[in-house]
Amino acid sequence: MPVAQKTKHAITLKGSTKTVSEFFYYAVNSILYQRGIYPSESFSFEQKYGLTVLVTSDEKLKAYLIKILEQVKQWLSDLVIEKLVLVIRRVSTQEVVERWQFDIKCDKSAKSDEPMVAEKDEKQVKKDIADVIRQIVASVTFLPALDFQCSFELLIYCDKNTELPSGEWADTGPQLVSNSVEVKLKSFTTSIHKVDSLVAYKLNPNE
Amino acid sequence: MSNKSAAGTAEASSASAAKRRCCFQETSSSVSLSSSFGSEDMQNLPPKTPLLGETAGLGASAGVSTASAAATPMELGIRDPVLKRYSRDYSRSFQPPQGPPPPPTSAMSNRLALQQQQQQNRWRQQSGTFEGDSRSSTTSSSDFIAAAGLPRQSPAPSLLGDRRQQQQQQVESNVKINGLQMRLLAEESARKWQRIEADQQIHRLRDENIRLQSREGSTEERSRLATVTAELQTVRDEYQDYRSKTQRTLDDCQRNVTRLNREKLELEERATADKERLALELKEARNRVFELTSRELRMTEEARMQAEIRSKELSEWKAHLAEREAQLEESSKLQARVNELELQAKLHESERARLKSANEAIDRYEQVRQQNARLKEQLAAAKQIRDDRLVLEEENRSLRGRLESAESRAATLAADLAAAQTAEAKQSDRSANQSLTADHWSSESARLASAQRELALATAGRAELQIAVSAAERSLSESAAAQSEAEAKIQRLETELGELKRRLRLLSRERDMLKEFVASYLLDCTLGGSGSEQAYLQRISNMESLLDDYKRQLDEALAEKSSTASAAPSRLSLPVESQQQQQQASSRLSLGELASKQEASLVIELRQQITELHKRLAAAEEDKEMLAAREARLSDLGDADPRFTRVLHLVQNPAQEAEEARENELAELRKKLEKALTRCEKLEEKLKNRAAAGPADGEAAAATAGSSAAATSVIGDMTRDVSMIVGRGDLLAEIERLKTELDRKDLQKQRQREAFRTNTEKMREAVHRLLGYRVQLESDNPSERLFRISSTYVDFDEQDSDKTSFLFRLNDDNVDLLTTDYVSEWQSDVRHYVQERNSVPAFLATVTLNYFGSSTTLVSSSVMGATTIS
Repeated sequence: MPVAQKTKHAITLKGSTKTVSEFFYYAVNSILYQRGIYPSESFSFEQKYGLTVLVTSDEKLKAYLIKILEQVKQWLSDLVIEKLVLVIRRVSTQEVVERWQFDIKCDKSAKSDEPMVAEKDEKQVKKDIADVIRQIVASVTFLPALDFQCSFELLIYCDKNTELPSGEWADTGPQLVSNSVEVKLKSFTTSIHKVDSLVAYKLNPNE
Repeated sequence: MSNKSAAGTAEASSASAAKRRCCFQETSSSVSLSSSFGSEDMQNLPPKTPLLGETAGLGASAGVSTASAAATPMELGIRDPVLKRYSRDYSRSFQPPQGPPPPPTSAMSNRLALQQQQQQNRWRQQSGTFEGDSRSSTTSSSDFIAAAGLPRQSPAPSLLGDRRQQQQQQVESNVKINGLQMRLLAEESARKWQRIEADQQIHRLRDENIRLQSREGSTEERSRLATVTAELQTVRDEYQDYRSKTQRTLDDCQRNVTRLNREKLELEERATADKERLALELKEARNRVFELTSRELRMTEEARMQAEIRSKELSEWKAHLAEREAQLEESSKLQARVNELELQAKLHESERARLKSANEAIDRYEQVRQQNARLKEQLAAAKQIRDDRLVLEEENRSLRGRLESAESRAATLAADLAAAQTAEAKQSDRSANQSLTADHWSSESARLASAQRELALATAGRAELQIAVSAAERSLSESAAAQSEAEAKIQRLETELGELKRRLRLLSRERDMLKEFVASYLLDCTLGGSGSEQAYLQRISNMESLLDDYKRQLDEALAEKSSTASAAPSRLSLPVESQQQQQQASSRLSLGELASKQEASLVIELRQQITELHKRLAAAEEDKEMLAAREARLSDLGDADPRFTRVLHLVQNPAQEAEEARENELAELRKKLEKALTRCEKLEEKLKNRAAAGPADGEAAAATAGSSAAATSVIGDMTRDVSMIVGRGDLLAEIERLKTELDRKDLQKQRQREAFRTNTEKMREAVHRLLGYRVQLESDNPSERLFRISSTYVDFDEQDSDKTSFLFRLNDDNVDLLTTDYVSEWQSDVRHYVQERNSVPAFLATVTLNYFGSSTTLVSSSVMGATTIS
């Protein structure tokens, strides 16, 4: 009688960190494109997760994202990061009109040099990430149109005892959306980091 | 989502194709498709009207075998009752024509029989084809639904009903077309049969004619031949009539066929339109299905998200419930603690009673101490008595010694007395002789009597002393027992005092613990109002006052104890003070009773406060739950607890940059606005000034100008002026400086130009005078370098014309002599000097010499003048 052999997948903290930070890069790019924060001409197509995602070609924006995500990568590997939040604000009033929140739950028992047994294989994780990206893209259907000039900012929630790397970083507030409507999106996990997604938006931002 | 739906549609189409295949297999199995049908037979099939959803493969493969040619529609596996009905009708109406059997002998007849058999096969094939078509239409109708990607239970029943009705109409129209075709074919076949019959009859008559011609010899046969010929002619005529009739019928049939084909085309067009409409409806249905699917997916997703939210809320509620239970447990603990405190209050009451008894014991202790002191005094007295006894014993011993000595003296004296008596007797004899010794005897006797008296007295004293010693010893033992008892009582009281001190310490510790507990509880009840906090504080202060009261009472008791201890020795001597103290003790007892009553009322008050506190605690718990829910919601929304979390961002971020850019833009706009405002103010001032300068000017201006252009120019001047004032106000000094500089430069340039012009004139004059030619720059363009040269010997009025001057163009490496009328006069010299020798100066010198030779007088005067000058 054939015996089914259960295949075990392994993942390291480094690999999980890379996967999650990569997801953040593409998710943030997709949000910025879909919400029209930057002109669509400044985005180019790229194949990722079996999808065609749009990635910015604006050098300044790219440098900002890379800079912030390098630090996020460090904090992900230190297991001290709790949230990554993309805040969209109206430039004229500085009012927060949209807030994309990615909650990160870290498995504190993970060690940097020891591979862990993963619940899902890499393909499944990428499929889950693709589902989240797809939901982000599809969320344009229910999110209100932003008919005014907007800018964005990335916030990182860290452990209280986290040391700041340089003078470029500073403490700030959570920047919540007043009278918001929340929609929870799909989540994915790498067995070390679990990322839950949520978007909170102002129902009538143009008023 | 679109991909998913597309995939779903693709799956549906593939499923429909599979279903179509399955249907085909079912149909083919039920029809038992025969492979014996060759391609020729297939080609001979009549043209088939394509049905909706029917494929070429289906149509091409729907044939029947000869074995199953007579099969009924039921046997052919047609399940649709409508199609069965049509099939039955057609099978009934399209029976192969029962023509006359062919003649068995002739080859023609055999051929005709074969043709008839083929025709019958065709009819059967047509019938089978139609039945196959009807089956395929059934199949296609089911496949149409499957190919549409729709579920079998359509989301819109009316749409499905319409579609079925349309399909039915389509099928009916197809059936009608097929029926017409079949009827046409039947008529054609009937005509063919009639023609065949006529042909057979003609052949038969020909055969008979041939046979009769072979028997031409007999007259009968001739007459018969003539008859047959006439019959033949008749038959021919009939045949001609029949042919013409048949031709007409054929024409009618052709017309019918044309009409039917037209109708068929119309029906096909209608079918195509219906098909397109159905395709559109199918598309709409697909869109609707897609919308419904997407909506369902979205709703599923929303439901899932809501379920997650609900589960999260449930878990939160569970957590809240657990927290509530913990709080309830805590409150029950608090209730237990309150009960314990009440119990402790009762214990305190008992302690108070014990303290009261301890006070009483202390009082007793004082009494005992007094008694002890008394006993000590007695002991001291007893000791004194003992000392006295010892002294007495010593005296007794001395007395005994003395008694013994007295006894010994008495014995001595008795011996002396006996000796004296013997001596007296002897001496009586000798009395006479010794009269003097009698006196001595009497004194001795007196002394003996006194000694005897003293002895008796000493014996009595000794008895008395022995009695006193025994009494003293008895009292001494009694005082020792009383002392030991008093010491035991003191020891017991000291033990009780230590116990009370220990209890006091325990109570103090418990009080501190309760304080801490209440403080922590107050910290937990952060939402508790100031009233509950005050109640707690009041309760604590009450307990503290109660404890202080206990402490004070204990201190007083200790002080009293110490005072009574210090006053104990004097109590024996001062019974009045002890009485006063007893009175104080009794008054203290009455105070204790009063305190117990107060404490009872305090306990009741405390219970009331506890009840009130419970109510406030419940309200505080509700507030706490609300706050916890709000906090949880805020936490879900991304609120950060600064005790555990830091929210960080890059100082230089896009939002900040956008804000800075906007601020810069706003600052620039503000500057522009300020400028514009200033400009407006200046304009207004200017207008006011102009208005004040005199309306007459304005009227005059209006009268003179009278046009909007003038007004515009005025406004333009004003604007320019205001611009000068506003926009360049700060640059006026610079402008002035630049203007001064410009004037200076202009003056310098003017001077240089004048100096250059003077020098140029001098140079030209010098050239003219020295070389005999006037040189003029012909073109205004300095880069062209075109010079007109005229000789000084030519008339002055003619010097600048082309007839008396040469035109030279100076290039970088050579000089071109331009062709003019004047040059042609000097053709030979030009050729000789310029073209051959390439020397313009020599040419010019030749011209000068020629002129000089021809007009000596004129030149001589001028040359003379020049010589004179030089």
